[in-house]
Amino acid sequence: MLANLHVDVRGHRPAELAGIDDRRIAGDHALALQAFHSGITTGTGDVYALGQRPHRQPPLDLQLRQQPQINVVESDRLSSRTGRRVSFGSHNSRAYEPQFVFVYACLPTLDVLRSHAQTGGYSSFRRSERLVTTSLLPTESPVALIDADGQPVPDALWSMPSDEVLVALHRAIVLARRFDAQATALTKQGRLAVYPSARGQEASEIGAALALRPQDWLFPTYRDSMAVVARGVDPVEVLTLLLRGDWHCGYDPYEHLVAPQCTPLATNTLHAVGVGHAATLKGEDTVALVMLGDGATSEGDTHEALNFAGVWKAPVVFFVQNNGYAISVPLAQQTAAPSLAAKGIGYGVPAMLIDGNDPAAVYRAVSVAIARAAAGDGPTLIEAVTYRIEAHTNADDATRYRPAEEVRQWLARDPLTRLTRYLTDRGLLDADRIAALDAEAEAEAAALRQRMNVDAVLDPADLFRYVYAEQTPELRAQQQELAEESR
Amino acid sequence: MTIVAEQVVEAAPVASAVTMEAALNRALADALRDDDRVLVFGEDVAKLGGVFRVTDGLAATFGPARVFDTPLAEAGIVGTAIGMAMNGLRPVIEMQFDAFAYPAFEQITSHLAKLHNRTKGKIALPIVIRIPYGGGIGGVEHHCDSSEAYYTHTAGLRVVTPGTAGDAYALLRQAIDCPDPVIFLEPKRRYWSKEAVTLDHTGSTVDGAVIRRTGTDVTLITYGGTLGTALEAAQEADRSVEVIDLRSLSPFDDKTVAASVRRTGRAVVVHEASRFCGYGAEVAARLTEQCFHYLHAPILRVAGFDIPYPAPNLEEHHLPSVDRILDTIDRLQWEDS
Repeated sequence: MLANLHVDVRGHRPAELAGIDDRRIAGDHALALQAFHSGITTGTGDVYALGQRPHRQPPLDLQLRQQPQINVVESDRLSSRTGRRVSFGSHNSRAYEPQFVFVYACLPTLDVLRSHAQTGGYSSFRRSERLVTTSLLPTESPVALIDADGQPVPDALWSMPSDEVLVALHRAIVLARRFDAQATALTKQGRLAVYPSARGQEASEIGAALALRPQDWLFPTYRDSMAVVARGVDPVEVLTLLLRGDWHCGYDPYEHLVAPQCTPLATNTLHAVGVGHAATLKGEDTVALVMLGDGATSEGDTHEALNFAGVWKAPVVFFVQNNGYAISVPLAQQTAAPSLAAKGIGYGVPAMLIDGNDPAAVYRAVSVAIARAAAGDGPTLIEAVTYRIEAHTNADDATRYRPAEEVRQWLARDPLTRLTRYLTDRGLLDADRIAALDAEAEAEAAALRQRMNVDAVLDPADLFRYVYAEQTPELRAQQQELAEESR
Repeated sequence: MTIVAEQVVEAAPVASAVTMEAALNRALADALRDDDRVLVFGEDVAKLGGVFRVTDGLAATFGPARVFDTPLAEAGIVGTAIGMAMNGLRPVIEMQFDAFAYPAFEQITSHLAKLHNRTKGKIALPIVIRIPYGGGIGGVEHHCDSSEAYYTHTAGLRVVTPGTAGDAYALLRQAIDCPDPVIFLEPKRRYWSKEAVTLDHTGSTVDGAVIRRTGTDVTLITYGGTLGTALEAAQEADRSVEVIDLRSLSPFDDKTVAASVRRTGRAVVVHEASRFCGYGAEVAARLTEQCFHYLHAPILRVAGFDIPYPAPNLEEHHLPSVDRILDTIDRLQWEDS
């Protein structure tokens, strides 16, 4: 049956190809067959596959006449390791080796397969409509590539990002954490009106920001200053304006394609869908990534945005940082859904549930989602499970609603510690390098402190300048009124 | 308004009797033709042509990438329009009825109105939200609200409303060309009013209020749905009544209106929205501030009652009528002059 893969089977339905009852094919099994079907054969009986996750269905009995040679295609780089058996990443599938071969494919897998099919000159990858349902579901538990102890997760869903990427993530996280601590300190000194810290969420903030391509848009919230700075926006511009209170947003959104940090919850999800859909209409290769929190998923705009994005197949990534609390309200009081990622299926939007404290998993998941969107396959919902170590803002007292023990448990899952350990174990990081990085972060923080100590000269006339493109006579008169008052 | 008009590239349109609905349709078609950044979308605007048929035929002419139906969600329509405008397009979107725009209120007041200011002008949102508004057509609840004051109270929005077919065309073209977000209120009961007019938007005549009828004794200030009623009352009055059609509710054309009131010394504001904190309150206050020494009587208002919009069989009691306007004119302390 699968021996048929020796020949080019494009143009046939997977059921025909497998010689089995069409109706028995469902979910990932069918996806796997579809993967074979879509030009993954090389003419020598090789099967390329990646991403193995059994879903809830029992394995389909597909007996092979002969054991095909399996190539495992690794991620977007398409390197392959010939001769290795497909690794299923799950206990129950191993039992079927070597008699059966199952390639469990979930959506990210298909993207990799597609990109392989394209670069390999194969026919374009197609997904039949009836397969969609299960492929939309996230995993039941968060996907991680590096565990809390800094060890690589065996048989992980995705391949590890390259060493260069991991080192870059590490550096950006060190800088981001120092920036965040500096901002918190400036708030305590009264230099900032307010600062919502993202300490503990660095893997999500930085992993997502670094996965964006230059032409992609970032739609951050008030808690995402780390991501905004990682995207290239001057930290002083971030802090002085919104957070010190000099203006609502001071940076030019078009310079780094970073929308103003959104204070109302979830409203920016719709803006991201609009930017993404406009890109589609204009034929631009632009993806919009919008950040939101667990609380924001209860807002109506999130629902509308996911729905619009699903209908329009808009190139958008919904990146939900589930940090456990909406100010004081825990997730259990926010939703009855099995996970926030599980909400995607209601909109026809595929979803991923990931360990938001694992920079490698965040980077990989967002990269896959961006690749999907860029390929015209529409939006992805990502739930990154993380934790807000600090209070909601400096004005909040987190001890009123969560136990210290809980915070300690999450500190043990720290994103920086685990990445540092992983890189150190692999010789990609050593004490000297860490010391140099810390010094760099310290210098940046000192420069930030110094620049933040300079008070901006505020011109009250600005109040009237930007309400309309051209000032109205009424506002001109009111500006004059204020000027006379201050004389 | 201070909207800069673009040159019309087509040959001069022919003057013929057109309805406001047809004029709006022409304006959309011409804007779509002249600028490929213009999009028209909303609920039922494509295949159906809108529940009032204002967008009739546009989808067939310009295709689904320019004119399309959206999921049924008003915040979604406005929110995505904001994103599209951020990315260089010029959305013209429709809220099916006045009261159905309320789910979009946060997007309109917190973002559409503020992003330009929030970013010190870096983000411009040239978006037009078309909203059929007001009663007088026997509509059921939620289909007849006069919601203008919600929008005029919001800095950063321009709010315009045409009273005639010719203005409908010109105002809509200029609104689409405007760099600011424009709330474009279409008085439902004037959709089928006809006017023999050349559809043109090159003039500067819609930049503010216009005197529809000249008079010397009293100024009636009105807009949109009640323009016809006010003109009728002026016709029937036994005094010389000037009628001003505001057209632009925000910004307000102080110059034209105050000049008229200084001439006549008396003024009545007419609108069908409720009186309390209604648009007329602002008009009366401004004119009092600007024309106090010219006034022979307090400025009066003819407005809807302070009640939820009534059921269709009772709406005639609520809407400003010719009689109510004439009675109000009579109360302008003529005995003192």
